[in-house]
Amino acid sequence: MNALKKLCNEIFGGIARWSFRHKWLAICIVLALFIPLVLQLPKLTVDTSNESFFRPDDQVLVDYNEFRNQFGKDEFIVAAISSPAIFDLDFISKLRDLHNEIEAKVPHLDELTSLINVRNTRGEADELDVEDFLEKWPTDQSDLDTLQKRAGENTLYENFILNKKNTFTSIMIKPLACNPNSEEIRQDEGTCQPMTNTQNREMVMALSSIVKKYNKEDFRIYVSGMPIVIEYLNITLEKDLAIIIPMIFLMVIIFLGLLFKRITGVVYPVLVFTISLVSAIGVQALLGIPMTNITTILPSFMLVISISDSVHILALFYPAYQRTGNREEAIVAAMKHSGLPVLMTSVTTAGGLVSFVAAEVAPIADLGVVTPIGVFLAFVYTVLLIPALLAVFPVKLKESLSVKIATLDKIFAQIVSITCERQFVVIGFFTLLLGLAIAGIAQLRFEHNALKWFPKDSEIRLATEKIDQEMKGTVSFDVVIDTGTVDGLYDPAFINALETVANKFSQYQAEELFVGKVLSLATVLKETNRALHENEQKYYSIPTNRELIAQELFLFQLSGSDDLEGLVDQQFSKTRFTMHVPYRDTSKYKNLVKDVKAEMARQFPGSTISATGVNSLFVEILNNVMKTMLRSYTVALLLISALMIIMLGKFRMGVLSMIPNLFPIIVIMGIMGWFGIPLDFGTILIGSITIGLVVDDTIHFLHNFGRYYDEYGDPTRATNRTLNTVGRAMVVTSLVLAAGFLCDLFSELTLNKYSGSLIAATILVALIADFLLIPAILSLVYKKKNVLNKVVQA
Amino acid sequence: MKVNNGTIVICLIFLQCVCVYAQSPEKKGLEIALETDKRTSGFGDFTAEMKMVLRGKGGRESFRKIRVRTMEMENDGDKSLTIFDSPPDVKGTALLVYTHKVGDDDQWLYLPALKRVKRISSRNKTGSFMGSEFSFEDMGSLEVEKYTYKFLGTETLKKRVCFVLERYPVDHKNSGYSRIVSWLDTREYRAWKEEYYDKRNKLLKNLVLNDYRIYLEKYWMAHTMKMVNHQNGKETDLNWSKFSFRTGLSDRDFNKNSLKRVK
Repeated sequence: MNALKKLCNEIFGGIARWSFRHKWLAICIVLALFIPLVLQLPKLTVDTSNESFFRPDDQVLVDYNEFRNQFGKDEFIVAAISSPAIFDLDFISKLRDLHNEIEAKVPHLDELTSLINVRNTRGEADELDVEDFLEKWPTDQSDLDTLQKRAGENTLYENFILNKKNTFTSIMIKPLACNPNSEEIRQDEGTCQPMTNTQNREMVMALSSIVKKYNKEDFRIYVSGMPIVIEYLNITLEKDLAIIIPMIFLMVIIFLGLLFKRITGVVYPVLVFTISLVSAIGVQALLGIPMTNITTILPSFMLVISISDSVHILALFYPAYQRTGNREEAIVAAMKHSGLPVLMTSVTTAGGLVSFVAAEVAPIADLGVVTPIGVFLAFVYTVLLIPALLAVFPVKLKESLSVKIATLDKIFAQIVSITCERQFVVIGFFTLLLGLAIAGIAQLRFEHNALKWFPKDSEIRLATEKIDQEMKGTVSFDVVIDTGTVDGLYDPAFINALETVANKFSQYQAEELFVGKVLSLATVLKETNRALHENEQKYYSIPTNRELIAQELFLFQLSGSDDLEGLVDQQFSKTRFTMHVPYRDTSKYKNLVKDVKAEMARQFPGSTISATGVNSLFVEILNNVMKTMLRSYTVALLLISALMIIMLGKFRMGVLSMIPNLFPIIVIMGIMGWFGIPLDFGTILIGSITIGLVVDDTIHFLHNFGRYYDEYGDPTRATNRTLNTVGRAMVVTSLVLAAGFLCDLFSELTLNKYSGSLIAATILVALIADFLLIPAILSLVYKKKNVLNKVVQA
Repeated sequence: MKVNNGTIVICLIFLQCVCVYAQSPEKKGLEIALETDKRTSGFGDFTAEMKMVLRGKGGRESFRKIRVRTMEMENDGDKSLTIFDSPPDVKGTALLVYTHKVGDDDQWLYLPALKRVKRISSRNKTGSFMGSEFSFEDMGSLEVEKYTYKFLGTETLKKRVCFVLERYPVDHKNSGYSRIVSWLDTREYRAWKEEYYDKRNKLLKNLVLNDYRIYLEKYWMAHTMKMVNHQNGKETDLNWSKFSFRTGLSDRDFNKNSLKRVK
């Protein structure tokens, strides 16, 4: 094993020498990799839709598409208008203008429903009218009073179009179910594509500008709903990135400058990072993998990998160069020393992440493809480009560097004296930390609420809360009940059961979750039945015989309303049951969906019940993502440990490496628990970066420790040497990256603030664990031995 | 050749004449519509049967059977009676329509389960007819006055030279369409294809008519009609049969009481 390692070291020395001597050729190789990937960039697509979480052939997605083809889009936008007087001539004419302007000017809409055109089923003498609520425009107060009374009697309106006190009225806006430009494609494939981000943006922007125009003190408009939340999230993310990315660059540059005090020490790592990131994105574009909420982690991930690679080489190059004054010999020495561990970090990180490929959740699987390739590109760029650039551009020899190095050396010496001599104190201290962390993990919550990523006083959060309070819902949940027989919906027992479920869930209340509105076929039947019986309230009930149900629905359909299309299929075999609920943590929805499904299974024996719609899916997949992610991390860590045992060539050391690998992860989860940071889609992602980080540090440390222990046979001396060589590089890498990630604190979204500070914390905890905990453990496990004899014998 | 002023003047006069005689596309369009109407007028009355095939995505089919009786009125739109024979739960339901050239049509529906006739509003014509891809608007009789027209040119469609005629609903508020484009053959003025555009001017549906047969040596009736909805991927076929003209129907067969008597 040692011979193999020596060979590897020689090979890396050879690579460095070759790249140095054939600098232009090396640069050409890098460009030959880089340029074709850059050319792929225009092909990159962005997809932050909920559908992006599925593999295209996933049955859940296929089912959802079928639902959407049948009934249209389940997500809606709600524009709620607050006014002291809604049944007021001035108000309703303003409402009509707003309604008409949205209808005329906002693109990609399917339909709008408001007081202007909400269904009004009425019977007068022998006539049945299914007309728009404001079909006959009121001219005086008595007309308005009649309308107000009529609205009060219509159970469809409450919490849908009007709030209970008649101080709020909504315009319910339903976006198109499918990307309008994919209609022709859909004809062939039988399925439709979701709207693109650009289309969603066009829609939301057009709506916002109209709303802005109408928004007045006595006509206050609040806008929310999933498409709006998603768009706000995208806008804020983009705005944040525009500030944060330059800041991260700046921070990285400043810290590299401070720590290396050399132009090359700043330019080369940043250059390696930039081309590695661009290449990784190019790979993503080449493979047709869209940028999703999950793959946006890529820049941070590449930052960690490429900075770490290049700093580890440069940190050894500069001292060697100061000693020898020869750039070629210095880079050869640095690569001999660090080339192998850098390769090992790449192999372990990539190997760990490759295990993601098996994940069911599409973007996580994508991550398993793109990140390992990115890791290898960063590695290749580092070992070719840095020697070549050092050959092309001169590096200044400094007069004296001793002061700073001396301080760091003193710190290292102290670390050694503490960790290698008072092992039990150190281990005891870390055990205590571990205990605290575990207590914190007990409080860790699994929940996902994208709205809480926004500041408390943000417009979208306030609007959503207001609408949830007044109109009792901004989010919809859908269940499709399939009787399996043509005309199965005409069965009175079925409709009565539907009504029972609707009544039961209208009263649903659990923790902060309630159901504000239930929309079902029963409502249509009741209103038609009443209208057929001279509007008498006592006929607001379900007809008792099958023919009457069939004929009333037939009548309803013939009277010109297309509302049935969104409720039943052509064959009258399945129907849709919709609930409007407030915006809450996804974990809270889980129970609701479970309860509804259970109740329906009881009420509709023989029917197929399927909870669908974007939000139900989201609840389902949230758990999938969490489970998949946690499982992937576990597999990755196990795989990494196995790789470490093989590569370090020391079984005990490989097994022990799990301690510094796991420790930071446990501590970070503990911190999340203590600080009430939930484990959600955002925070669970940082695990992939964390794995890369902790593994890198551990490998660099253990590799060097192993080497020096073999050399000296003394764990204390080995620790000392390790810290003095690679320790410096580890400090530089960690400080640079921590500073970079802390820039996320300037974000508007708590999602970014949390992620950034947690990653920075991981970096520092990993460094501390490597510097303090590993030496303490290693010096207990590895005893002093007499190696000189061995060396002589060899 | 030398061109003198006289030639120019003559040319100008000639051009002006051309302008006077060349019709505007709107006028030509209306002319075609009137000619079509003329050719379909004077039949008196007819009865027919129709089977409707509703095809959902994935080819799932369901069927409806109806019988139609229509009587032509002088100076007003047709009166028609539609009897629904299937699905079984609506068997015996019958719809009576008085089409009017101007203003809303009158409609009554008889519900056998309730044994009552209900007048139903006809203002909103955009709803689906029996869950099919045909709306009320598409099923009603075509009255010239309900649209404005524009002649778009001629095109050859399946070896037939056709007028391409665009029409716009007058009552656009209650129509589901911004415009409808028809292809009518120049010899017999029969429609072979129609395209329906929604309010946002996107193609919504496409109707293809076929199997024309002639009755009373004058009236061409399409026996198959296929409507394809491009926005939801669903289709509806109408298969007509048993056309019978001048059967002696009278006003008495088209009143509210006759609704209850239909068999």
